[in-house]
Amino acid sequence: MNERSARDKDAAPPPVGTRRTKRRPKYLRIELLLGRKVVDADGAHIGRLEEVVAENRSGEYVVSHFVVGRYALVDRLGGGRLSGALLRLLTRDRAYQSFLIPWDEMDLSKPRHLRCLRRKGDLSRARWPSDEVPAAGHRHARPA
Amino acid sequence: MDLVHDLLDKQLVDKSDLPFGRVDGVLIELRDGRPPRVAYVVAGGTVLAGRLGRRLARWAAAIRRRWGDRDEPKPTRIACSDLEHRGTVWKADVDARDTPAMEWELWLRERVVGRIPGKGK
Repeated sequence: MNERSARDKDAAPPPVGTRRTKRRPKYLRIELLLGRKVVDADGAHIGRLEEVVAENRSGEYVVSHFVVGRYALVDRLGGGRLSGALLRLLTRDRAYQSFLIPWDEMDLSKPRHLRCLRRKGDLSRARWPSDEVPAAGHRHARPA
Repeated sequence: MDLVHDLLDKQLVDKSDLPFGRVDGVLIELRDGRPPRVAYVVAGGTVLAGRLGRRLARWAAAIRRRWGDRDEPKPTRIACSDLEHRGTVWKADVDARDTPAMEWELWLRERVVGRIPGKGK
């Protein structure tokens, strides 16, 4: 399978009635991106894509961050204090390694091979949501 | 809003509060130099099957062509601007009967449930 066909596989078809032109909008289905491995600028494994955070800006929702982590799946499944404590005990806090990647730092040109443009060490950590009260309705407490 | 936690798989209701499916997919539009826009949500059995595997999606499409609509499966696509969060559900500013999401249910009602002896009594 060549690179182009792999890239296009997760690209959703344009809405009905959209003409096929060079400038037609490109759509991605986020449910097909979930669980994909994400690597950093050096090719090091960061984790898997588990959440996409959107903000309301001028009446439309736009993607602001991607949440990537090895154990963020527990968060997505509604992991509470008990599962959080259990994971913390079993993995010695490594369960809490999840990162926030700003939208402009994520390379979505190859949906099957997601790549962060930053190095893993430069990324902000996403805090475990059940440790703190989420701010503004979001489950992931964001760094200031 | 967390798109996976708050939107994906959540119940959709139409403008008269009739449930007509769940959010099976979310489309974001990529734009040069601007953040991706949450453009549409999609609902439909073939969309859901696609999440579980390409082979299952092909089977679902084939089953639909065999016993249902012979045209290509049409997932229900709703613009994000037509959605409103109402507690645990998302209310869409559409009439469910005008969407492909209700086709399968209406087909079942007409061809299967409607032929069960004692229905409606």
